Amino acid sequence: MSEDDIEELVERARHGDTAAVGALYDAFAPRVYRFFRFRVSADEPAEDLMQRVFLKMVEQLPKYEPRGVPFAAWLFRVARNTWIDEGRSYHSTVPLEQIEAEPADAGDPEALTEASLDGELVRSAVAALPDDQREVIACRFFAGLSPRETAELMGRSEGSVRVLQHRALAGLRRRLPSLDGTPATDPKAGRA
Amino acid sequence: MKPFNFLRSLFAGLPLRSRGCAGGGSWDALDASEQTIAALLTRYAAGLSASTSALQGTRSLVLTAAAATAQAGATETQRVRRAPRAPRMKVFQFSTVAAAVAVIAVAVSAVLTYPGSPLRYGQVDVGSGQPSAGTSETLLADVAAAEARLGELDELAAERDWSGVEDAADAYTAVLMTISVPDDDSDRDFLRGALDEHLAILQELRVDAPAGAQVALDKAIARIEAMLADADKKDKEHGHTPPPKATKEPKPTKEPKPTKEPKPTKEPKPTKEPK
Repeated sequence: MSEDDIEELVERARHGDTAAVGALYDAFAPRVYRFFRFRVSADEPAEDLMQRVFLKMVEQLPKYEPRGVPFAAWLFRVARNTWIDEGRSYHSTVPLEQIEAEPADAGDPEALTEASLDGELVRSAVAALPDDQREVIACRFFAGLSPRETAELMGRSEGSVRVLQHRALAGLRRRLPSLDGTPATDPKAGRA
Repeated sequence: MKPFNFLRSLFAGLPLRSRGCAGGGSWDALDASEQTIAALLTRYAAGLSASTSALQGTRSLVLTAAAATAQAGATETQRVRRAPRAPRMKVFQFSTVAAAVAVIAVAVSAVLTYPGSPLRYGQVDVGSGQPSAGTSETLLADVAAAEARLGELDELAAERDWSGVEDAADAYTAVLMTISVPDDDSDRDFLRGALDEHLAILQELRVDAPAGAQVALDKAIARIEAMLADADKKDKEHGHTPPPKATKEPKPTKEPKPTKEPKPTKEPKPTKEPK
C-alpha cells in the first residue's frame, strides 16, 4: 500500500469512515504486533499492547494532522509512547547474562541460523543494545518503517538513523554468532 | 580486546560509505555479516504473528470504538457548526460593556424617578408592564421565571451561541406554558405589558438567528401571540379596555420665537425751508 493510499484511508477514517479504519488496522496491525512482540516473551502482552495502540489511534485520529509526517511514523509514535507508559510491566524477564553466557554452536552454519532465529536469543541481543540503536532496529526490522519514517518517529535525520542502524547491526553481529564460523565476540566489548 | 576487534569497533560507528572499504579486505566480511544479521532479523520478524483470533477480536473492538467515535464526532461537529462560540475575550468585553450599561441605566433611572426631579415627567411611560399592588404573587413569580429564561436567551444570543439559544428558547416557552392568562383585569394588563416587551425582544433576536434557533424562537413567539390573543378575548368578555402600549411621550414642539418687529424706518429729515 503506497503512502498516498494510506493518507487517503486516514482522511476517510478521520471523517468517520469505519471501513477505512478497518483497512488501516489490517495494514498496520501485524507490524504493530511485531513492534511489541520482539520485546516481550509471550504473545498475550504484545496483543494487549497492540489493542491499546489501535484504540488510541481511533481516539486520536480526529486530531491527526499530516503536516508532512507520514501516518506510519505517527502511529508508531503512539506505539512507542504506549510501550514507554505501559510496557514496563511486560519487559522480558530473560536476564542479559543468559544470552551472553550461552553462545550458539559456532561451527555449524545451519545451527547458527537456527540459533540466530531463536526468539529469546534475538530479543535478548537486541535488548542489550543502547536505547537509540534498539529503537532503530525495532522500527526498521519489526515495524517495517522506512528510514524516513524512522527518522520522523525518532526526531532524527535520516543519516543519523542509518548510522544508528549500522552500529546496531554491528553490535548484534558481535552478540549473535556469525555465519562465517567466527565465534561471537564478547558482547561487553561492543558496549565500550 | 584484540587489536583487530579494537579497529573494528573503532570503525563500526561509521556509515558504510564513509569507510572506503569497498575494494575488499576484512571490512567486506563485516558488511556481509551485517547483511546476514539484517536478513536474520527480517526472517525472525516475519515469523512473529499474532493469532487470527486475537487479530479479529481486536479488529472488531477497534471498529466498534471507531463507530462510536464517529457518531460522537458527528454530533459534536454539528453542535460546533450550529454554535460558533464567541471568543473568550469577546464575551468578557461584552460582559464588561453590559455591566457598565446596566449601572448607567440604573443611575439614570434613579434620577428620572426621584420625586422632585425636574426630569421625572419627561420619562417613558412603562406603566402597562409594571405590577400593581394587587398583582398576584403567583403571576409575578411566573413572569420573573420567564424573564430569567429570556435573560439567558438574550445573553446566549449576544455570544452567538445559537445552540444555547435554542435550549433557552425551549425553556422559556416551557415556562410560558405554565402561565395561564389571568381573569383579573389588572393582572392581565401586567402580563400583557410583560409579554409585549418579551415579544419585541424575541422578534429582534430572530432576525440574526440561524434557522435552527429561529424555529425555537418562533415557538416562543407563537406562544406569546396565543397568550395575547387570549388576553384580548378576556378583555372583550369583561368589557375591559387595556391601557395603551408604552410609548414615548412626544416632545413638545418649541413655540416659535416671536419675530422681531421691524424697526420703524426713520422719517426723512425735513428739508430746510428756503430762507
